[in-house]
This record gives sequence, C-alpha cells and structure tokens, in this order.
Amino acid sequence: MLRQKAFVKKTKSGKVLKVVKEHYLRDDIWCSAEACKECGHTETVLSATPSINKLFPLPHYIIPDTNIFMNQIDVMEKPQITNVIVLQTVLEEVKHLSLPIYKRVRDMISNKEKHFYVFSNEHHRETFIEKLKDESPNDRNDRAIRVATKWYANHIKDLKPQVSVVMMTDDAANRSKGTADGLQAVSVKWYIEALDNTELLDMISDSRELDDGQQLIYSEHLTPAHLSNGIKTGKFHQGKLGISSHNYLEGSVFTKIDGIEGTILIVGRENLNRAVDGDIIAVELLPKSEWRTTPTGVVVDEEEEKEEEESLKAEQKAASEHKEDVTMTDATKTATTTSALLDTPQPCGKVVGIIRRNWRQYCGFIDRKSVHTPAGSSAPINVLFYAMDSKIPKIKIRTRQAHSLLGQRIIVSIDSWPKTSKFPIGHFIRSLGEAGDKSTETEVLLLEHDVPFHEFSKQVLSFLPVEGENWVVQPEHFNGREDFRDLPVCSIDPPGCTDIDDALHVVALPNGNYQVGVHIADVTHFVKPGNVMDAEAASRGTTVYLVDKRIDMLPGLLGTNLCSLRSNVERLAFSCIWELNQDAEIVKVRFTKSVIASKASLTYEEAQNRIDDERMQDDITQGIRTLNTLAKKLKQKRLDMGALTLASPEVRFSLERDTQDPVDVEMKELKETNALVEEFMLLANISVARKIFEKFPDSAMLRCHPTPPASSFEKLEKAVARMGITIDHSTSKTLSESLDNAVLPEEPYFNKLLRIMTTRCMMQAVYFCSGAKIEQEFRHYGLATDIYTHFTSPIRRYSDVMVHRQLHAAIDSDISYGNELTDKESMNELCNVLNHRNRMAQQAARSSVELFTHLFFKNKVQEEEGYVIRILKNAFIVLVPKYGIEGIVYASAKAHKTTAAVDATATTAVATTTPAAGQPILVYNPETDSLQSTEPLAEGESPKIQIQLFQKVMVQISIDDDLKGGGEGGMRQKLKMDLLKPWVEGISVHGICNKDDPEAHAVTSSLHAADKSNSLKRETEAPATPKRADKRSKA
Amino acid sequence: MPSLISPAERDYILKGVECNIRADGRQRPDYREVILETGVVSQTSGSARVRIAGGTDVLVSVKAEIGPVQVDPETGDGADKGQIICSVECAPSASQQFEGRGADDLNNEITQMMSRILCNNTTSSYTSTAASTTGSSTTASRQSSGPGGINLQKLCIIPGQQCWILYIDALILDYGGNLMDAIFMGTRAAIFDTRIPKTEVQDLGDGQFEFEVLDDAEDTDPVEGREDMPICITLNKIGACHIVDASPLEELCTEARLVVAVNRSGQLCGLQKGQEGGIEPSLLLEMIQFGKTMGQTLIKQLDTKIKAEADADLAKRQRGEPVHKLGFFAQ
Repeated sequence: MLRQKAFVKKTKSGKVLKVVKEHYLRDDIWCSAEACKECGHTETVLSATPSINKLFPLPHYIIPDTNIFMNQIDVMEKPQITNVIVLQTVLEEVKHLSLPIYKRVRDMISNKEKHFYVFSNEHHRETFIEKLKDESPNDRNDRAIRVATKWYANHIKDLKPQVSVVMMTDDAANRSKGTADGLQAVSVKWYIEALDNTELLDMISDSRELDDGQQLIYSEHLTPAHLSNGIKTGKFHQGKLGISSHNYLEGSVFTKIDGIEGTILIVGRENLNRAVDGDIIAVELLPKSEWRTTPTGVVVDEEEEKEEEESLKAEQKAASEHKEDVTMTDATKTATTTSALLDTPQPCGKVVGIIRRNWRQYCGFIDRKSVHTPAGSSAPINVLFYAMDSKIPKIKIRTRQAHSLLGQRIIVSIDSWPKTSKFPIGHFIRSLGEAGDKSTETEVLLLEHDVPFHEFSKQVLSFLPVEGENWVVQPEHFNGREDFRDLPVCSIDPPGCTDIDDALHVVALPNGNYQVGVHIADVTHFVKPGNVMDAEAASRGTTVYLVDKRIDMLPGLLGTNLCSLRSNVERLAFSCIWELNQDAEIVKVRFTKSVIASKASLTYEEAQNRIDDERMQDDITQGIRTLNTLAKKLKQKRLDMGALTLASPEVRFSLERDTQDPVDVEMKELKETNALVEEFMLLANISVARKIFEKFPDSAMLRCHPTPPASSFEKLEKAVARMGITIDHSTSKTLSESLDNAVLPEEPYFNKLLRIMTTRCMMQAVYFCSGAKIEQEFRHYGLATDIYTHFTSPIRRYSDVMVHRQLHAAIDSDISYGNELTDKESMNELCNVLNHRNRMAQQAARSSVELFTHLFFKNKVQEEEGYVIRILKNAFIVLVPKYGIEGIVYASAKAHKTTAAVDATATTAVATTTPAAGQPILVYNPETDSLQSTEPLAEGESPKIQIQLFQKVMVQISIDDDLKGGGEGGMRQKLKMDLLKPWVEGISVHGICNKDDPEAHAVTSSLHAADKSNSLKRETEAPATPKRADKRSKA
Repeated sequence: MPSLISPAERDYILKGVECNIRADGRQRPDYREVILETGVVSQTSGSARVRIAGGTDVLVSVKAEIGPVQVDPETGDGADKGQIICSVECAPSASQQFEGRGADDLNNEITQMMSRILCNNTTSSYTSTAASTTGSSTTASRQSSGPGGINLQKLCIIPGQQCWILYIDALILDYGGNLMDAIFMGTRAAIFDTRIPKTEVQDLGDGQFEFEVLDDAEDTDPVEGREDMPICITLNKIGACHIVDASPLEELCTEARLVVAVNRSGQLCGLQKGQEGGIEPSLLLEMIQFGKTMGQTLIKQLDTKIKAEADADLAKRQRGEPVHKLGFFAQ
C-alpha cells in the first residue's frame, strides 16, 4: 500500500520546496512479544514475562511517548525499566529533537538486557494514521501512539502467560484520551512511585514551567530568527562562552568585533543571562561607558552565599531576591568606577540568546548548608549542587535522599533554566561514592575530562592477533621489511615504562659518518584502518597517564607486549635511518619497515650511568656515548635556530606500594639522556613530516605551534620591566635569548619561574591537516622548525598511527590505502577530535596530580616559599615550586576575623581602617598591576604593602576539610593557602610554629623603614628573608 | 492537428453549421463533454487536468515560490504585490506540428493571452472605473483585484521585499480543438486546488523583517480572489453563424475567432480576435453577449464540480482515509 506525505520546506537560499514522500505500508511487521505465535517473527525482543508493580499487577510492556525519552532518559536507562516498546513515531521525533538522546535510546535498544523493541508503527498497515485536517503534528503523533498502543492491547490480549501494555506519558490530556479508548495510561511519576525506589524517584526530571507570577530574574532570550538576523547584521556576536575558572560569574567569548578578532568580557549573573560554560551564545556589546579593564576577581562573597541559602529556604521570597539584585548592581558599580581610570577598556557584553546549549552531566556534591531537613527525613527537598568544575553555576536539584548523598560525589544533569530561577534546575543521576576516596575522585576526574575509560569491548579485542601472548615474528613478516636484528639497538625510557615505543641505534660508517636509526613500534601492522579496534583507538585518541594508573589507547596486549620494543625479543618496527656527519648534519635519510631485536631496555638513569662509567666499553654504551655527542650538536643547532627551552613545574609522587597513597613528592628531574632521546625523536618527527607532506600535500597529519599573539605577553612584559628585564617575543629566537638573559643573581629560581610563566603565554600546539592551512602557518614556534608531526609514539597517540600509515603509503607505492589518508575533510575532523582528546588528557593528568597533592597534604600543614604568578582583583595566585602547586590567596578580610582586626587598629600602623567582612584590604592598582594596601598616600610615596607578580611570599598549605563534600563557601578548591609573609593584617595567618612570631612583624616594620628607598629595588626584594631585610634597615 | 482541409470537407462543415448541426452531431452552442480532475500532481501547490472528449488534454499546474517583488520603475507600482507568471507549452507528442519550434507561435499566443487576462490587475484597468462609479465599498474591495480576479496584494509577504510568485504552467498533452477554453478551465481548477503555505513575518527592528514558512502542508491559505478569475469562451465564426468548442476541422473552417473572457458576475474581462476574417458590429455584439451568458453558466457548473471534488477529498481526510487521485490512470 502506498501513501503520500507532503510538507513544505524553506531552503537556505530562501526557496520554498514542497517535498512529497512516498510512504509504503506493510503487513509483515511483527509484535516481537515472546509468547505471540501469530506473528512471523523468529527472534523476539520483548520477554514473555515482563515486570509487574503495585500499580499494574499484570505483567506489562511499556509504550512511552516522545517526551518521556526527552525528559526522563536517565530514568529510562535504569536497569529497572525493561520491556519497552519504542514506537517509530517516538523514535523519529526524538531523533529530530535531540541527537544525543537519540543515540542513548539507540544504545538501549541494542542492549539485549533492556528488551527495548522498535515497533515500526508508521509502516504498519493497521497502525498508520493519516493526519487529520486541523490536527497539529503533535496531536497526530499522540494519536498515532494511542492507535499503536490499542493495536498492541488487542493483539496480545489472548497471550499466555497474560501480558498487557501500558502507555506512559506525562501529558494528562493524552492520558485521559487513552483511558477513554480503554487503554492503560500512566505518568512516569506514578509508575516510578509504584516501584518504591527513592533513587529512581530522584531522577525524575521536573521540567514543568514555574508560575508566571514569579519575579523574573533574567531577561528573556531572543528568538532564533532575531539572533540569526542580528548576527548577520553585526549587531550581535556569536561565540562559545568560556567561563573564568576563578569566577563563575565572569565569562568571555572569542569572536570577531567589526572584523577584528577579539574577546568580549561578560561579567555578572545578569549579563551572563543563564549561559553555561561551553554554550554557543549570541552577545550584544554594552555601551563603551560600561567597558572595563579590571582583571578577574574571585567570588567569595559570603553575603551572597547566605542569601542564596535563604532564598532557597523561603522558596524565592521576592524580598530576598530583590536584596540580591541590589548587591549585584552595587558590585557592578564599584567595578565600573575603578575602570574609569584606565585607558584601554576591554569590550564587555551581555548574552541576548543561546544558540546551542552545551549541557552535559556534571560531577559534584551537595551543599551541606542547603540541606535543612532533619537527618533521616526522606521528604523531597530542594538542595544546591556544586559541580567539581568551578565554571558551572550551582544547580538546584530536588531529592529525597539528601542526607545519604551528603559527602558523596554525585552526577547531576541540568533540565532547564527558567528565567524565574536564579540557578539552573537539574536532577540527580547517580552517586559515584565517598568524596575524598581515591577511586571515586579518579572516576570523577575521568568523567569530568570526558576520558573514555571503559574496558575494551569483546569486539575490539577480537581484532588482536589470535596467538595472543605467544605471537612471534614469523618468516612471512620479513616481506617488505629489512632485517635489523643484528644492529645494536637499545631503548631508553623512564623507569617502570612498559609501553616502549621507541628505540635507537648508531653505527659508525667507513667514511667517518654515522648511521643513526630511530625505530618505532609498528603499531599499524596490528591496527588495520577501519576496524573496530582502530575506531576505538581513534575515539580515545591518546593514552591518559594518571598518577596511579594509565588509561590505554590500545589493548594492553599490543601496548605493553606485542608492540612494545622490549629487549631481547624480535619486534616489528618502523625505522627512520639517517646518515649523519660529524657535525650531526643529515647527509641522507630513508624510512623502512623492519624487524629489530633490542639489545637493552635502559632507564634514563641507567643510560646516564653507562655514559659516565668509563669502565663500560661495550657496543651499546659506546653507541649511547656517540648518540649523546650527536644529540648535543643537534640541540645546539636547534637552539641556534631559536628553539625555546620552557619549563613547567612537574612533580613525581612516590606511592606506597599497597595503598597507592602518596608518601613523597619531588620535582621531576631531567637528565642528559632525556635530552638525548628527545633530540632524535624530534629529528625523526621532522624528517617524517617532510616526507608525508611531500606525498600528501593536502591531507598530511601535521602538528603546528602558532606564534603567540603579542597581547598575551603584555602583563608579563610589564611585570619584568620593573626588574629591568625586557622580553622580546617577536620571534622564538629573540624570546629564547631574552629568556636566557633574564637572570637575577639574588633569585636563582627567577629564571625558571619566568620560563614557567612564558609557557603559559604560549598557544597550544595542535594537530592539523596540511590542506587546511597555508604553508607559512605550519611553523612550530616552540621547536623553531618549519614543519613538524608526531611519529614516535604510536602506542599512546593516535595521531602517530595516522602518520605511520601515511609514511608507509609514501615509501611503498605498492600498498593500497583508502581515502582515510587522503580525504581532507575527515582528516580535519580527526585532528579536531585528537586535539580535544589531547587537551582533556593533559587536564586529566593535571587533575590527577592535584588529587594526589591533596591526598599528600591531608592532615599536614606545611609552610613553604612561593611566588606570586597572577594578580586578580581581590586575590592573587601563588605557585609553590617545591610541590608544583598553585593556590589562591584572597585579599579580602574573612568574616570571622573582623573582631580581631578591630583590636589591632588602635596600635599597629599596619591596618589603619577596620576591615569589614568581605571588604578588600588590599586593593587592585591597575597601573602597576599589583594589590596594595589602602592607606592614603602622599605624593611619591609608595603603599606600605604591595603584592606584585614574581614576589616571593611564604604561605601555609593545608587541606580545608570543611570543603570536602560541600561544606561552606563558594570555592571548590580544597587546598588552602594562607599568607604568612608578608604580614597583612586581616589576611595573613600566624604560622603553626610561630604564633606571635616577632619575625613576621619584623618584615613589615623593616619595610616601613625602607619605604623611602628606591621603590623599584624594594619591590623586588620586599619578600626577602627577614635576615636580609634587617640588614637593610640597619643600613 | 490537421493543417489542411479539403473543399468538400469545408463545404460539409459550413453547410452543417448553417443548419445548426455539426459534424459530431452537436448544435452550434453545444459544448463537448469536459472531464476534469484536480490535485493530480502532488509536488505542485495545485494542479488540474482537463480533457475535452475528442482529444484535447491539458495539464495545468501552479507552483508557489518566493521571490523579490517587482516594482515598476515608472509608476512605483507593485511593491506590495505578488506576481503571476504564466507559461504554456505544447508537448511535441500532441501533434506533429508541435515538433521542434513548431509550437512556438501557439505557445506565445496563449501565454500572452493568459498573462494579459490573469496578471493584469492594475487598478487603472477598466474595472476600477466601474468600481469608482458604483462607489460601493464592497465592490471596490473585490474589484480592486482587476480583471484577473486574483488578489495580488495578498500574495505579498513583506511589502517592498518578498512575495509569492505563482507560476502557472500549462502543458498541452493532446490536441483536439478549443485549447484556450480548456486551458482557462484548467487554470481555474488548478488555482482552486492551490494551497499557499502560511508565513509568519517577524519584525526584527531597523526596518528588518524575517519570515518563517510554516511547514505544515495543512496549514495553508487558498488563493484569494480565485472566485473572480475569468474563464474564456472561444467563439468561431463560420459562415454567418458562430459556434463554441470547435473541433480541429471546424477550426480550419473558421473565418474569425473571438475569445471572450468573462468572470462569474458576467463582467467582460478580455476580448481577443483571431484569424483574418471580419465580424460585423451587430454580430460582434451578439457574440460577446452570447459569450458572457455562456461563460457564466460554464463557471457555475465548473465551480460546482470543483467544490464537489474538494469536499469529497476533505471528507476523506477528516476520516483519516487516504485520498487517491486517478491522475494519469484515468481513462
């Protein structure tokens, strides 16, 4: 039977098309109920005895409508919900409305245990319905669902054992129509209530609109047509919102303003207008008079917190909301007045509409203060949820298990953000476990960074060699491979490394030159393009290294065994062979697949010892020495070209063997041999990059490091200028030179610190497809090379796998390859995925270090030297090099300190005014980019206390236990840093061992004495040790 | 389509007409049987197929598209109006003479006739004078659409910017005489069948407008003023008499041809004379009068049939039954 469906469509070019589709109806669509003998199905999905509950004592299948999937997908995914008939009408609507949800429904359908059956009611002769005249599409679909339900009810009514169908919908009108038709209809809430499961009840999303009578907190978003037109005319700017990690009420959008790329700041709850980090938004610029230049402030407004709490308690009393508004506008006002002083304000804007939401599931915890019911109560209450990601606003959720969830890490998703609600409204999804627990926290950080960490599926594993562990190099493997088994190949890696993907060798040639080989694990021999294992590796993108574990990109058998170039076993490799002369210049280069047998797997330390130990004169040791000499020459050449030596504070944890608890922290040390390996890997990568670019000019996978924009150096330049140091960042060579010259004799750490901060000014290196950029943009700024790629770690990076395939295609014209190597578009897409995965992997690794740092500092209070590396409006960030950690020190007085400060005012000269709670003691001075005390200044006089970039301070590090599991305060960080020196009344704390230590005061008093001396000198030396300060005050 | 006729045949037809009996047994003012079906081409906004027993077979389709308004540079007229663009094409299969460029003249002639009558609804035409003389507001509003009947203002979406353009395309599938009448009947039926998608105009401020087309095929408007569309009656003068609905051979005997366009209120909407022969003033007046009466009756009958079909389709749809069209399966 043939029907027609017609609809009108407006194309992009403005044409109106009438689309007519032919629609065929069939009579061979089966019901798939196990007990049904009438239908011609062979395999059934719906079980003969589905579940029952209090409401429906008869076993039943559930037929949900579209909105059930759209709003309650989390509930539907629970194992308690099985035997569901997904109507084609519903599935198509879901697909149309939201692809992510559609994918999740599809996953459920393919999960055999869920017994989800897709019934193609739209193609079934008896359940297809024509749209009636004057019937809206929604009504038509609702009717289609009822018709299909009715069909099922009739069809299965005589089955033995007895079953029934239940239509599940939250639409009361649809339910009553269904009941009138003699169907069983139920809402999700009733159904779940009948299951007696509080966890499921919490997961029911409540997306109903709130009463209209409520006061609007946010202005309305504009319509999509308005937005697209505004963006077209340039009135609005489109971009992805990035929220500051220090202040969730401040975001920015990188976009084009009048044709020039720039950043628009969006400050304050009102201006952000319900946008969440990552959303694609439309921004309207504020008038120039409201632009500002102040740096980011940290929100620790406890007053605000309190009001939030109240508003929650009183369920939005208009009065408290109003008060809140006042404080908010006040804050904006003060900010604008300070900015009036400045010359180049930054464009500010407000969000007028959201083009695409980027809501995901968030890990976090419930705010203890928002739970008001007595313990043990199971009445549903509204509580506030803090996401671990500090960029996400608090989320209001309704739960019955608030008390049992306290102190747990839970996952929550946002349902809606109505304009009457200050916070987004969400619902509970699941609990991850006890907060502070290592495995829970590790899971949290993996989830938060979107790292796929599930086990490899059976399907993936099926592509491993059948021999498994016993796989050995067979004679047929020598086809097209060179036999390098006799070469003195060895590998040098960090201790405990099991996935060895590179090995080296050197042989002196008769003509006085050297043959140097870099051998890389031949992963592509095992991972063939397009299969499930390849797809899995591509989607993982990279291996993620956490402090205590590793999330592999490839199954362990390959990564740590068959591909790993272990010593004394024959392994397949992809080799890059150079002939280098005495000056380490490349005479010849060639690439080949090979078979090698590594003679030794060394650690950096072992290799270093071999170099140093003059008694060792074997082949391998001689080779390493030669390589070392060559590497030094290569490095010098690279530095001459302008390669940068940058630094980042990396630490290594010593873990206790059994508990995996950290027992010690040390900075990672770099040995000469690290540089040795690095040099040859760079050389290999560059050589390979040239080769594959030659073969695939449009689709080579390359890596570039863009030149950093001048603007990112501004602050740093200003800060070092005070010390008489200039940074020339025009090219990497000049930057490298200025970094080398930036040495302060009295501060040995300064150079390292400067390098760390320079690193942060850099852009991120990214993969790209050679066809997507012009050749001038291929440059790798940091390495000062005109072309670069990643070739040397195919076990842990997917980019290298692609490069291996391209290189293989480039050297062997006989092999056939698909368009995955030549298609510019798909290569571009892959690059984007890999860049994202890489970024996430880095962040996950960093978070893991942070987690272990927290565990390390648990129950410890440590005093350490630190350096100021960033100034915020009401706080500054301190880096403690010893542990490589950073923390925020707030420049506002704490509420509970107020009384103490009052006592101090009378006598000490330090605090002249009484710092009220929340009032800043140190105020930001935009001219010098520093925080300074607020006392009135005479002409030419410097403030008594100044906090500036690079300043050395003493801080006390501890773990704030209160915050664990959602204690007080808006800050999510758990590591607490308190200022010890310089002493600032109201901010600093007394050290544990030196309460009332006269030394602490000595610093400040000595500073006063030095006030009139050269201010520049004082600034650099102010945080010096008390001894030196004393000396100077005597002088 | 025969192009030549023998003297004997001519004499036979001439004499017959004189005696009020035509070769196929009809009398002078008799029409042949007309078969009409609407909604035959589903991709169009509206369509109709008209066949006249004896061969003539015409397919008319209306397609509504969006385009910029056409403003007359001299008068500035047209900024608030939609457009109608007509086109007629004779399928080469209809007649040997239509092969190659053979049908160009005929195509042009009919296209021009259609354009002149349907697209011309400027208020300066004669109906506006009629309206101003009567002075009645109801007639003024109706007649402001001119002889073509269709209210072009209603086809405008954003004044000065965008409007609906109705493309009326007639395809002559077979030739059996009296093309013009068949095409106009088909056009009327196709326009009655036409549904224009509803649009929602949004004011974006600063004189900027944006509109959305509602994608529901049901949520549509009929073409306003369609009842006032004229149809044509072609009168062929043979000897001293005139006949309607001439067959191909009768057309070859025609000395003069008069096409009378008339709307349902009997108003004359257009006249066109063809062939070399002359018509005496008294006969001309008689012919016009005859055409007017004939046209009015024909419109009434046509409308009844079209309405009956539309009602039947609607009833089916309300019951949720599929609407099946015979289309080209019709015998």
